[in-house]
Amino acid sequence: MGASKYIHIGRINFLAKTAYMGDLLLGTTFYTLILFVFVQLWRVLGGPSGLVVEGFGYREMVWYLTASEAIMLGRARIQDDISDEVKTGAIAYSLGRPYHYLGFKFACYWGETAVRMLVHIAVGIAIALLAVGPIQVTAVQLGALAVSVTLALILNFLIVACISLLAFWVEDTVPFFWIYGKLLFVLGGLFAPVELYPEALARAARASPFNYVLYVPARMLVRFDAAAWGNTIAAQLGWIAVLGALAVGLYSLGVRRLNVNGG
Amino acid sequence: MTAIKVRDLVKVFKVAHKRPGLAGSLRAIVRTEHVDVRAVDGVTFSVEEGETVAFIGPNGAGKSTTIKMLTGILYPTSGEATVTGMTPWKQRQRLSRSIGCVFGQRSQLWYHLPPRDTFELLAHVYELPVSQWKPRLTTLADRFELRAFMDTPVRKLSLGQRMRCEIAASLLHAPRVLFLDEPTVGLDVMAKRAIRDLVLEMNREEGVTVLLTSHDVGDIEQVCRRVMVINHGHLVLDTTVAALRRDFMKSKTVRVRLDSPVEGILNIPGVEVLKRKRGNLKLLVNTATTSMDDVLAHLMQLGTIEDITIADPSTEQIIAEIYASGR
Repeated sequence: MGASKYIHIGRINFLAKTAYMGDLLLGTTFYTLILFVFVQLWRVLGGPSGLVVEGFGYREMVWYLTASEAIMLGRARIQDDISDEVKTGAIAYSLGRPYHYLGFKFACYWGETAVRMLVHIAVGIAIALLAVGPIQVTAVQLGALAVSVTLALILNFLIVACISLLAFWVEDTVPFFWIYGKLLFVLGGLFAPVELYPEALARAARASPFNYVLYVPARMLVRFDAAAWGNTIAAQLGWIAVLGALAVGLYSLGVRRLNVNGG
Repeated sequence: MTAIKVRDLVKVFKVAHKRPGLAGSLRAIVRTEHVDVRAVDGVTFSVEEGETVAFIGPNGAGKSTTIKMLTGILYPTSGEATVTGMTPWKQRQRLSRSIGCVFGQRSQLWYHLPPRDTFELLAHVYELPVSQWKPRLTTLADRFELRAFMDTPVRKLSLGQRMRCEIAASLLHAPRVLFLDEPTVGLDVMAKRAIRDLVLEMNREEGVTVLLTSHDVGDIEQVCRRVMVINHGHLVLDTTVAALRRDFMKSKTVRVRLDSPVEGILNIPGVEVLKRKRGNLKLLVNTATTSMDDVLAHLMQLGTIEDITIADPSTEQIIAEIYASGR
């Protein structure tokens, strides 16, 4: 019964977000544009010459980018909601409900992410198929990939929640989100897999949680390694445990600092 | 049985204070100064089950802060409180199942979805069995006349329709205490009346205890039997609405526009002329000595009434009267 309420919260947010389907479809223009630009880039670099770097050729690079960008653009943008609610004190109204605030936001996040991911995955697959044709994946690999993508999105939620909850202590969290975006670009391996990075940067990327948000699932799509899958999932779960504890800790500390004007 | 018990409740907010000018801004970067604001300062009262109590006061008096502490939203600085036997800020999750809250400026409805979806979600959030919430929703939909727009997105509803949905939503889990914080703010006269009637009906039929804050004296007179007046965080009066009306609401302000300019001295017993300009008059009527019928009769002798409004004293005027009476 406890989980049922969160499933319904997710469901209702899924329905609410479908009210903006036109906006969402329009939003995929940016995704399409990025994929188009990079398809041209990788075609020049890897197409005719057949250049392959660390096992990533033209086709792999396009499918890698399709996957990493789908996660990047498909994740729900809950940061503004949480930060605003903390800053304005509106978070307080959730305290009087029989659910956990972070659980509520997590459910909302999944409701919106489900809509956004479905649209981005559909658009991404269509573009990648048109540009480079299909990639070899089995049903088992897709199942394994789905687990990793799910954990990646949970990890992203927790990082975003931690940053948003900093609004209890700082005036503006926007700069932190700007930094997080750039960290995903670089350490997350948004545009290219870390195999292409200089050794020191690749080591730093692999040691960070950002790598497990984009690189790990995107790489799993193009170069599935069954032997390493268990370790990868364990590492994602490890980061989820650490950041989950941090988010709950920040929330518990922050709520006691709540100042809501009377009105 | 006591529904709400409050003893020496205090809430102090630390408010950041910046000195004026560039020097003040630079100083604030190094060291932020804070000023203590005592929003609620030693409030003590109790409310019995089934009572309808108004909690009134001007802006910043501490009424909403008190409600937020009683609903578990805010931690108090000191003092004690129990609501249906629970300490709100310690047992807020358990308490949420026995109280309903409506914050007039904070909607719980999902803006892009029909009210039915919010009701269904709340039923799941409160973990109500289907056998309980479905008939309950049917009853509330009938009583609050929601059927016509149950499947219309909330964004397309009028403010009055939304507020009816808000109150129905807060009653879905059959709470024993209902907290209403400015429930009629922004509503027109008809919508206000509908909300007041519904709250009163729920109190009579289900015995729901009602604690209501409002700026609108009409809310208090029509819904509540008891009134508590708070000012600067202190409870300055705790009495019946009948006593409040008798002792501190002895005047009404009448604004009237007549079709012709009023000539000469206007001499109506118990009426003070506050302003006059051609056919426009602003009058202060002492209702303890003069009936509104008499005032209207006098005005009609002066000419044809084109427009008229009759206003109760504001909460600020009532508080001024309370202080003037030495209580």
